[in-house]
Amino acid sequence: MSPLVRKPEEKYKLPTKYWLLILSAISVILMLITFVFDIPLKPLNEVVSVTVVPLQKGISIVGENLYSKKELFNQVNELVDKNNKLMEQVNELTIENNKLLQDTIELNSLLKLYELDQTYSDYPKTGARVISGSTGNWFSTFIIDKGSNDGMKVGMNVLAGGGLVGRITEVGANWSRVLSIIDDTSNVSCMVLTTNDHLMVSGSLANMENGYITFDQLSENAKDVEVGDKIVTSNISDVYLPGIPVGNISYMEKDSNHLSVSGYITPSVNFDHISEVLIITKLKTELE
Amino acid sequence: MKRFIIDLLLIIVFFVLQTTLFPMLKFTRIIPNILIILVSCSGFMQGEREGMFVGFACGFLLDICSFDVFGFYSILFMLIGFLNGLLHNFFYLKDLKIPAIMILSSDIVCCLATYFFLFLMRSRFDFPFYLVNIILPEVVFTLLLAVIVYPFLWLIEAYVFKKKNAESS
Repeated sequence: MSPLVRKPEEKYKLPTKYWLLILSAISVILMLITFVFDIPLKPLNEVVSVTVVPLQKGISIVGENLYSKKELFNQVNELVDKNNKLMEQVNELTIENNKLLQDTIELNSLLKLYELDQTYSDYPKTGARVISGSTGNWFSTFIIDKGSNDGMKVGMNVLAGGGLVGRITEVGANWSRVLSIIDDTSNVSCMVLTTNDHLMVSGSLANMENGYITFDQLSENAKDVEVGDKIVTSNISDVYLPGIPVGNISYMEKDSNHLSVSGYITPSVNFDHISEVLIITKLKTELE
Repeated sequence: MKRFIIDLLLIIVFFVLQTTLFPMLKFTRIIPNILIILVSCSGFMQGEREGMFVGFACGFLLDICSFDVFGFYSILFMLIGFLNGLLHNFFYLKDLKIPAIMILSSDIVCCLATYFFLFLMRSRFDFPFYLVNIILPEVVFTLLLAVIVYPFLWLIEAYVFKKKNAESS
């Protein structure tokens, strides 16, 4: 080819190695910002709000419908049997309920005397749907379909089936990320319901295989605590509202330092099948 | 431009699959890492430049949706994409052994890095447990899934982009 005939010049592209450096630098800076200075990255969250969340919502709704249709078909026969049995039970329970109602009225009046009527059932709550599970096998976080547009805030407590699931750690416009208490990085300050002894409940990937989360830092002096005791969130926790059930002690053991006791807790929530959750729209810091 | 749009679509679709569909199906507790297949294949099929960008985008989405230290998966996936891209010259569409090894090793690297930086650093020393219960099942599951996903990516590469080295080179 004659040297005079030139190809049209290609558009200039930044060489790959520079791109690699630039993107690495961006990642490292972001890591520093979030890890060292602990600043939330609001604008980046909106990337997910527009791209992924709408799709996730769609798929989870369709999937859930299909699943429930299938379940419905299987369960019709079972339900007929169960219904008959339950009707009998309803009669028995109605009688019992009347008795209990009287007790409750009495209890309420007594509680008022002690000003202890703030249980977790009184907190304002709102429901949300889980639209995405955890992204891998290492962490137990999930995404729900309500965000700052619906008044969600970082630190709000999440419940399901009457027990604590976790708390909100990140909020976008139409989604929030929930860190569940079974996550390996999660720590919850709790207490034993009956004796008010404080302990620390930590999620553990290793023990989750057997359905347990771990606890430690229970004082050795807490002699009255037994296996089977109910654990609720503590009043000294700075993110979790007091009195939310977490689980029951299923195993305990004195530590080698003879000062504290640690062991396993069976969570009250079945973390395998969470599709809808309740969010308490009151932050611990707003309680006086 | 065509490449950009198709890559973007693939990233979003794979990410939604990984976060929504697989946790919902629940064959086991273990979720296969379908994103690493995409990152590894993009690097391997298209070169280090594309691998790097696809890896960064996938890691970026993962970072937003999963973990508190933002940027960890971005940098990890970007490097995996880039390193896979360095072996771009060995890419023949008909060969299946090398991609399998690439995906396998990428997933192992990803798992080991996660364990090392996010678990070992928090004094979780029981490596054999994590190896047997988390890493091995994930790697096996991912490889099985790669058998289904790879031909699909292969088709896109061969027919949409009319790859010239399908037979020769």
